[in-house]
Amino acid sequence: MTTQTGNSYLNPYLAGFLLGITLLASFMILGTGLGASGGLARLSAWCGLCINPEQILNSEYFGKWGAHPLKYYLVFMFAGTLIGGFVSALLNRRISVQVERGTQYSAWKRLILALLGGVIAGFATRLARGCTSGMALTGTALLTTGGVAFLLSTFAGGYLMAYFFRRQWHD
Amino acid sequence: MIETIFSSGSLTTVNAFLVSLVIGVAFGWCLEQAGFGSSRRLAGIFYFRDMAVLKVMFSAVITAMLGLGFALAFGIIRLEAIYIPETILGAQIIGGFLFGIGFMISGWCPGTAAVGAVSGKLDAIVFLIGALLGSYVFNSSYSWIEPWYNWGDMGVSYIYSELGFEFAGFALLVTIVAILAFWVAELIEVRFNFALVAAKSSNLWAFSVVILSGAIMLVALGRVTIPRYRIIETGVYASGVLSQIEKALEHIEPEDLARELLVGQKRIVVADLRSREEFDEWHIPGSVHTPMSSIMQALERYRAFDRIVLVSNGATHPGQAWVVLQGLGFTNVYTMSDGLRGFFERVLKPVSLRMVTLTNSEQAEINLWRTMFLGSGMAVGSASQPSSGSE
Repeated sequence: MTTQTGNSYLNPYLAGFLLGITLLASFMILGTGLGASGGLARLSAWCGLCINPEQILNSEYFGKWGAHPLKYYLVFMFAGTLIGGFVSALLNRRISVQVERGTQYSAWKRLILALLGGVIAGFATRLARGCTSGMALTGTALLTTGGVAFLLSTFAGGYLMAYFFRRQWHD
Repeated sequence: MIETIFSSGSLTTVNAFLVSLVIGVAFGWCLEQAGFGSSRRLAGIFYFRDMAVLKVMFSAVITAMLGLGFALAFGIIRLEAIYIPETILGAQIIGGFLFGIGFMISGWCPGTAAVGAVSGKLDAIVFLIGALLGSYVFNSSYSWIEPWYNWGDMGVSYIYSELGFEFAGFALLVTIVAILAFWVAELIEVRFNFALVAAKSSNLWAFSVVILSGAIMLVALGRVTIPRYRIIETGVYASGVLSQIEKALEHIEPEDLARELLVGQKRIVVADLRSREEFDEWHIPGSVHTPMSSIMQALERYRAFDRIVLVSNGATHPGQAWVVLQGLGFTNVYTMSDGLRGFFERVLKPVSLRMVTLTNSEQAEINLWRTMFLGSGMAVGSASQPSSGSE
């Protein structure tokens, strides 16, 4: 069920061009690319610290980030992403509370798939050291071997399994 | 030449956080404008219904790639001022594959889910919770995954160098591929109705012409080359280098390095030349893994530091690398006497195992070193690159 309200989206090439300019500005000012999953992982570490500080501080991966994992530029970038997305959605009257899915599909099943996909994606970003923003977009724009390889295998994985999950979008 | 926040080593300052926040706002705005606050639109690419992901993604890649190409060609910025994500090929192929499956199943990726969540999409919020759990699971199973995590470590690696291209030529190739992909995407969306695409695509026509001309100009400029560090005309005299060695000015004692790291007044980076496996097993806290073959690229960003200290198990590799770096005009490079073996013997060896009698203050210092360099979660005040897995 999708009820798209509000103004229509920007021309995709123009949106892509502006996104590219944002990435370029990030290279020139920050000296790093864009990123989203890094902020999420830091948040995950912080949640862990709230529950069991001993275990997280001694863990091999999260432990490296110390007792204040949120003091990191990508955490702030993620917060900015939330703000920017919200302002744009608000101004274009595109905010609507819903579970986005095909009309034939139950909301609960869709939420379970969203959770499952989230766990897999969250895990995979740590293995690959980035997500669509930090690896596919930034890495490919810099023409790094890893960035291009990540982009290609992302589409390979998605297309290979897409057939089995098509029903959630059936109307 | 502009300095970036990264190259001036201030990525952990409040200023950097504010800049990141502003860039994040622009990022979120662009994603929302592109319609990426909708999982149906994002998932559309996997069913050839809505190719917006391809169009936006490639337009952004081409824009940033060509823009950076021009900035480098006109000498506005050095490539060393930008943090280049390392290539760990095996991990990134497996990770990418898994990520693609997660992306397809959920219809979200981390950045777009952030935008979806603030647009009121409950599935995006659930995805973000899942991603937090997934990161947590990764941390919990890290010891088991570690070999995969480091599988195929190539350090900083550019796809055009690997394939024997120059930057500009390869950028032109990527641009042509992207333009073809745009037109195919348009055709797919209307089920290959050529007349319809021809009628409505004047914008795409203009965009194609602009990026193609940009890429061709970049090739014509022909000045964007990755420094390959030929040793010529650095103004360094061999006799000067050799006399430094003679006077033993090129090395630092392990105890002195330990003291300087703990005091934290000088800007010091420890460059660890050992293999990735050895580095992961143990390294001096705050040191940077630096593969021998890409040592110049890796250390370029530390030219302004007080000291770059090269370490390995022994002192042979650091000594050889030191000579090469002298030729390239690095004046702040040191090797550590006796290497890491010496560091263990002279800094980290427990008081109880030492043959000589030590004063109380010496004993206290050794105990301090042991807690600081062997204890967990310790961060010595030293610059390191943004930790792996940053994005």
